Amino acid sequence: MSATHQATHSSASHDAHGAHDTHAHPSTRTYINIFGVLFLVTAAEVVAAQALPLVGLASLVVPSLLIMAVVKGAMIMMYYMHLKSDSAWFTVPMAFGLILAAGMLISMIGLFIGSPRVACTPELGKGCVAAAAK
Amino acid sequence: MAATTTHGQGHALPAHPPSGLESLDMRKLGMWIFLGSDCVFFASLITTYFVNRSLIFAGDPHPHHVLGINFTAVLAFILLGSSLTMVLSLAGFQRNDITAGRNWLLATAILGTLFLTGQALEFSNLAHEGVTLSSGLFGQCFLIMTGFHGTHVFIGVIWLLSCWLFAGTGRFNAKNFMGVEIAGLYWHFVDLVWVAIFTLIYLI
Repeated sequence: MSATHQATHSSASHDAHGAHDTHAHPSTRTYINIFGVLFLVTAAEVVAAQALPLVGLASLVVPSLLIMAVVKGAMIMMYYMHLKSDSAWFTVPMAFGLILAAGMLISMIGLFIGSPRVACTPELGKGCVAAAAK
Repeated sequence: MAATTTHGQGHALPAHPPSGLESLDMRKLGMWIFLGSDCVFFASLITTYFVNRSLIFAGDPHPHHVLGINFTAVLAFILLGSSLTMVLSLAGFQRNDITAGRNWLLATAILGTLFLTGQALEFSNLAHEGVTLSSGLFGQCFLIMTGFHGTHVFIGVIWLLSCWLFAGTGRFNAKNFMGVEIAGLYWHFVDLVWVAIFTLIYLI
């Protein structure tokens, strides 16, 4: 006898997506722990931005803040947005967007960082346009 | 004969669950594609700010003099808290605790409204300091960027309240929570963008 069984395939049961594209989501305790870490890292960011320059470590402000922001973003995506437990296919469009975004930010900053920028005020008039074009 | 599952309306389906792309919920995949594209949208606004940063910081008023870091940190904590209430809401629906799911949804919408109120206060203070859309490069870059983020939050609040109302009619439960999960993805993304804006614009 063929292995055939009846299955109701209503739209409501189709909405019950958990079977195929996800695994178990984190527990409530994990969610609260993640929030605690995010809270502490955000507090550390605020302290670092204001305290490091006062103790002569201003050069550490940007790298430390960037690292902390990346950690926060990764935790939100992995645990709150469930990329860690969901199908890897969901990661692809987000990773593509993030790579494009980071590429644009880095390349444009690299392109303009050494260029003199001229404020175009009405007083400068045509001179402003000429200076900006150089 | 190959093993098949009979569809409720008589169509034959493979007995083995679908794998790969066909197993995915297309609404959820669509939301992820949208969020990926929205990353590029916000990156373009942040890039515009950074490309003009030397001019912005040479102008008057200086951003670090008019942007209140401590006040904005409170807004960041509010948005982080709303992300927690959002996942707790989803967890409530997943275990069929509809009341908890609805209450956490409402809490998320309230926190989002608090954030918007704080942002409106900040914009009002900036206007008193002379920072408006027509006041110069800083006003344009900053207000358009944070204004678009605020618009996303506003849309998110409306979406969450819609989910809350629908949940009251029994639409969401342990077998059907995709609507809440997709709204949650959008909401967490709004939080994610604020993580970037808070660090790159307010702190650096």
